[in-house]
Amino acid sequence: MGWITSSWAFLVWTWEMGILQPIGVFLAIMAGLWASGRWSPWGSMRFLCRRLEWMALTLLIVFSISFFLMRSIPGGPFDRDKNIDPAIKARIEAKYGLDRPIGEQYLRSLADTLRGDLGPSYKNRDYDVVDIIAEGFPKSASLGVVALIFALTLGITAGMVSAVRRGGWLDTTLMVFATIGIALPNFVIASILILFLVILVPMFPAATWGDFRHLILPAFCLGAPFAAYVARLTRTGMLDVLTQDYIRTARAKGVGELRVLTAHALKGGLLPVVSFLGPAIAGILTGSLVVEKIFQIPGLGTHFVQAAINRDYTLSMGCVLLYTTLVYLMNLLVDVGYTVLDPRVELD
Amino acid sequence: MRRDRNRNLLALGFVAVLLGGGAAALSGTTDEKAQFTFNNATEVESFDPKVVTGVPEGRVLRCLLEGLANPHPETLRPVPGVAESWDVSDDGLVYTFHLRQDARWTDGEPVTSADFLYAWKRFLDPEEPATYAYILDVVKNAKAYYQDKTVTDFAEVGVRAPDEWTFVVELAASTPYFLDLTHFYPLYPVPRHVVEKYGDEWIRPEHFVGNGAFKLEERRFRDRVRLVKNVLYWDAANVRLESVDILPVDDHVTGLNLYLTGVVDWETDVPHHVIPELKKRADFKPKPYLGSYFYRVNLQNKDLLKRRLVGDPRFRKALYLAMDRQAIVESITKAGEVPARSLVPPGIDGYDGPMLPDRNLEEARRLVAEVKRDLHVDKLPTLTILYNTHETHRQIAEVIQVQWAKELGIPVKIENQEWGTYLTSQRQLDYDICRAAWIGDYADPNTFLDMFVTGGGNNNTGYASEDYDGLIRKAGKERDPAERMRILRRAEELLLTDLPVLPIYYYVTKNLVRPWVKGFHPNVQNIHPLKFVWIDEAEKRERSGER
Repeated sequence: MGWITSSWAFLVWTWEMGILQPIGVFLAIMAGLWASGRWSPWGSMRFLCRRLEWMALTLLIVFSISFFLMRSIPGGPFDRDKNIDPAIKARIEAKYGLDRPIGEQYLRSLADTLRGDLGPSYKNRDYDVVDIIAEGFPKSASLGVVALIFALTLGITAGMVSAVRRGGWLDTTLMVFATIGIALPNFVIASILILFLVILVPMFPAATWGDFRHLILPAFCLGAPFAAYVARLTRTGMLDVLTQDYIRTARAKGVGELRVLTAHALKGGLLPVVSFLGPAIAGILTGSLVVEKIFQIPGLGTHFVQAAINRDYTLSMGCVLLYTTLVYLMNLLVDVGYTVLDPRVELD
Repeated sequence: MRRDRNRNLLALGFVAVLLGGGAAALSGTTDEKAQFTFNNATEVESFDPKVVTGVPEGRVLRCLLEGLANPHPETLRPVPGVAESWDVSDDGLVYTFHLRQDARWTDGEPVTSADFLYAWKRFLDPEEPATYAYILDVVKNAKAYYQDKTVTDFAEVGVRAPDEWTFVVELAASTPYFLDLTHFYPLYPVPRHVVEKYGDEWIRPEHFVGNGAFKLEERRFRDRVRLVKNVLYWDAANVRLESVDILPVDDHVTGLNLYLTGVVDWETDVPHHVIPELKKRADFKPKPYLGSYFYRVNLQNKDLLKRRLVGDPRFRKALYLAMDRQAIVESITKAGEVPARSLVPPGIDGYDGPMLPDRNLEEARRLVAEVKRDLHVDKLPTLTILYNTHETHRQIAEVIQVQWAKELGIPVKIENQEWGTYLTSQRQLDYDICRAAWIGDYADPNTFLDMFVTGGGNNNTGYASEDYDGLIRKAGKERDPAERMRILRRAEELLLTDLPVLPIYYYVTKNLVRPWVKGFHPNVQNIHPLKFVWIDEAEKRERSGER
């Protein structure tokens, strides 16, 4: 029964943080395309099944490598600066099954994971890993969504403007900003923003989780490098597309310049952005250690690093599996998205 | 054309839904600010007194639960808690606690001696003893019960509850600091009726029941713990804070930002690079803290040459004498830390510890030359200083590296390891010299000194001295407090002669506290029970514009 409740819980979070809705919208678009006869799911079905098989295999490999890697580094989850009496520590470890042979631990852990039970966190002993992910993921994800919207809006607009005004002062300025955005680490942007918008002019709260105002600065810091990347990718993509024959055809047919750009060129110009977005979305949704630390966001980002430092085997495994799944799913969406944006691409 | 428009509409809807989803995750998380907010600097490991060992956990548990006694906010001497009063037998072995009859759990059940008996029995459970079980080794038969298992019946352990309101503890030997343990958080009572019902799940916020001055209202992981005044608390009339927020901000800079923008009223630590600035402020007053920063020397080094070398006390003395402790506290730690010339920090009542000589380069060089001559060593091997990855530890190690290399001609390498690896290296004696620190659990030299008995769980140096072990044992049996302190002094003298550890500095507290927070007193253990804390609202209104 465990897996039913946990997958239901998973659906609820994905809904709450607004991941499920876009997936739903996406499916609706596909259904619409299918109905209008522009796309058929049957060819894709085989593709999807194969991809899911690969995903299961990838998850198994990632699980196994992480499992043995974590246990091969020195130290254990119950090491403290004040040493616990070895006999007492042995009994605590026995309670969590850490005294069993490694092979048995592996199989048990694998079986539990397949049932959707990621076990208790070893460091935060009042919590199960599933609870920690359930509390943290929605927060990281909603921060990520805001950051993503910001990154896409700003990035695509800047990239398009740059491409159209290629070589002009606007292009140069925007691309200088984009380069700075890529080069400047998060924490520098964050420090500058905090200095000006929190300490000097108290417009935003310094940190912690609360209402929408708490999201703005961290979302900006999280999204800035992505915005810069998206801008550069859009520019490259647009420049490439604008020289294509079909654009010339459109212009020759007397289509207005704005329409050429938005209706004809943008679709093709966004292809590089879309392939970048898959892994980027997975990364942005699962949170960032730096931004979450600076703004004290109780999300997931911190756990990726902290769980490893604490030798919190179970929590660390939960994070790794979640991230793998997300990366895989997002890449899958990207591949499907490609076929919509570019009719020449076929799934196989 | 129409299809395009439709698709644009869909895209717009997509964005709207994304926004809506983001907003949905945020909704319902806005809270009114608590009357008092402090930053505990980390998410606590657990609410279960049996499981926890850390300072941050202590801060939270002192709000949620109450032991036999409470620490006095200034002196930390035990003042009545669940026990109204207590008697000590003439031989100092039997403590009888008289519990008050109006103490209640937050679910209304009375707090009785059975709860303490149950908590201590659970604490000493031979199948699954508490992390801190050894703290009760002073109780008769406790160790025999939970560890040696030569006593199998808990009734033979020196803890009894003759009636509902009487709790009796019989010690194996007179222990002057035993009363301090009555307000040590791992020994707090647990609600038997709740623990038995929910097992390990009893600490979940929906089940949790406490008996402290505050009641758990909400716990959001890595976000905040919200407490409200416990109206059932026997001394509720004297608890003045209505609500408390406990934040787990681990980044000191973020913590400072929160303090400066008025979100946090008490910040428990500060980023060390701004300490000189902060010291100009009236609300930052570092005070002596019962903690020592020192280097361990591995006396069982696997490298035989190194083992012979550092195995010579004269060589260790030379290492000690060449360290410029003054420079370290002045140019690196900067908060007013005191250079240490002993292991036990000053500030423990009744204990006047021994002191090593100050820095002396000439003497240090002479000792090194002597050792080299006696051991027929021409070329000194490279010693490695191991520290856990942290900016301050690195800077200190660098200073010492330079001093040893320049003044004594000892080639020194420094090496950092992340926390878990560092702990393992230290425990397995896989190091030459290793950074270490110790914060006292109770205000008595014993909490520092018994660490270095042969085979002690936190010895981690391979130091083994029968004389030293004998002195610590003897002090444990001594009934006259003054004489006991003299024995402990002799033990520390011996430790400082043998020098398995090289003292560097004594810690200071780094609390930032708003001026309108009253009832908050500096003390050596840095314990500030919120039961006694209150806000001067008039002063707060007047001064809240200040940063």
